[in-house]
Amino acid sequence: MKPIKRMFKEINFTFANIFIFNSLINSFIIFLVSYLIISFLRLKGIYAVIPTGIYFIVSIYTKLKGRHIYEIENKFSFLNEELRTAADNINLENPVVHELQTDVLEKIRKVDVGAFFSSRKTSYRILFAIILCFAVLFIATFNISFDFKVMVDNIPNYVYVGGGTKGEAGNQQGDVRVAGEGTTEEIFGEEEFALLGDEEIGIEIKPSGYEINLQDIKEPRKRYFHDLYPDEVCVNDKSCRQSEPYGDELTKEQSEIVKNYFLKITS
Amino acid sequence: MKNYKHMFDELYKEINKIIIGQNEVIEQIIVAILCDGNALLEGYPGLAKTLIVKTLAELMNLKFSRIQNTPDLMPSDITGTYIIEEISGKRNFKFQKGPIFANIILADEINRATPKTQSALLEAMQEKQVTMGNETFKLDLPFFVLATQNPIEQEGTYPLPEAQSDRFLLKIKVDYPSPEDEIKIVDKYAMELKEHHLKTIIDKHHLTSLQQLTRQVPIANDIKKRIVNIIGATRSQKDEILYGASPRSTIGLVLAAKAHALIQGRNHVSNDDVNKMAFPVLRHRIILHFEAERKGMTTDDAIKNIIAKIK
Repeated sequence: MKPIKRMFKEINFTFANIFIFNSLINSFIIFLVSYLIISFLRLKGIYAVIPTGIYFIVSIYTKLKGRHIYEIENKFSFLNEELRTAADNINLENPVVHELQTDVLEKIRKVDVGAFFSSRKTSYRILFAIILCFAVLFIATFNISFDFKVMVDNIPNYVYVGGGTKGEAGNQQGDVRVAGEGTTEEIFGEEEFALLGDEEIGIEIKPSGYEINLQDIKEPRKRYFHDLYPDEVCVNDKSCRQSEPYGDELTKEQSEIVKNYFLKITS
Repeated sequence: MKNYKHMFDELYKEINKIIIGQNEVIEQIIVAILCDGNALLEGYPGLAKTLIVKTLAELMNLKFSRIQNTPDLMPSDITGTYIIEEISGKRNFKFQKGPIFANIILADEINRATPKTQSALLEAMQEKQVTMGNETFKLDLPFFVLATQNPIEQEGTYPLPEAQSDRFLLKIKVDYPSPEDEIKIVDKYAMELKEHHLKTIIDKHHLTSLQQLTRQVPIANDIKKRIVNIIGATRSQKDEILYGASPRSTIGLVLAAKAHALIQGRNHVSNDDVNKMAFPVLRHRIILHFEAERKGMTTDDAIKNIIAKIK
């Protein structure tokens, strides 16, 4: 292989390595930022892979597709236009091209690969990634999140006030949605009584944004339940009867009474 | 390449013994010669146009001839004609070669010749041969025509049609020298009468190999693309330019840029070469819109705008 061809191959390989390394670091940062946002919003963490993957593919594709020699020319002006001419005429054979190739091979020795790899920038990126890692740990440890559902529930009431009726064209003038105005009956309906067990409980739905006065809260009322079941429970139900384990706990005397009772009712 | 640069520096040094200033004009003439093209020099009388060409011919050890164009000049006055020759009582027609049978032709005030004579000259320029009757005579190579024309005194002239002027690779503008140069000119030609002996720097064969070398100078693809875009812009910029440049000018600009790079001792074409050579290559190939001309715009201004636009 011609030395000039080998040189261009080496340039491409070096640049590919640099690009892949930089893209990996950037992708990692994007993943951490995405993960941070996603976990804060209480979404699935796996979604962070999507922007990371897209960035990695696009950046690798665009950077590897571009001409690296322009970057060398921009950094090292003594190779300006010379390097690209040598690259474009790599297969040409004549004394002028040969001299150009010799010149390029000589000048490229002065090119330092370190010029394309900023250790300072890379250090900052790695530092930023470490900070992001700590941020993810912090959020996970203290379970800091932003509940979207709660936010939606806490949206203040919006009511239509004004003269117009909704849907009536030309009569909408003065319709304004005002938060916190109006009565709760308009949105929750009338106060109703709910039936819990055999007791009626009065439930009043409080408007949203209602502040609870802790002093108003009383101790829960104690309730006593009787051991005796009502007559309608498990009387005519065979399966219920079979599963009842109470027969084992009865004394001999009580068992006799029960037995006689059953014989009496079945005869 | 450094050897070539040294050689061209030597050439300039020798020319500067005779010509003071006008370095750009000299450079552009050499470019035309290296490209095996022809050049049209435009400038006021007394600007050393003829002297430059004559000196260059001497430095290159080339046969030089001058044709002073006038309205009564006939094509045969340029190309040559058949004359009757008597040898031992036998009369034969013999072709008497005209001034065109030289290496460097200076066609002075070409716009004063009739279109018929102009076309005879331009045909020789293009084909590098002269046809008389049934016979075709090849011209000596290298062959260049360096024509001059005067921008003033347009009465009684036959301006070159666009199709004809397109055959000139470059249109070189010869400007007045700077005051400092003019003082040197006065000192040189009004104070002393000294004959200068010029040494030959380039001979015929060397020049032919230089012409081949010019074509071998490599050019990057994006520079080539830029040249095509520049030429394309002369055709698309309808608000300023009525008629744009032809593909012949694209070839011309690439070649001229290569030659300029060679003169500079570079082994590749740069954008600077293109920017510099775009003016002499394009200025006679584009026709400005009347509106642009009315505003005082020149073809050089239009070229400048295009170059600035296409980076």
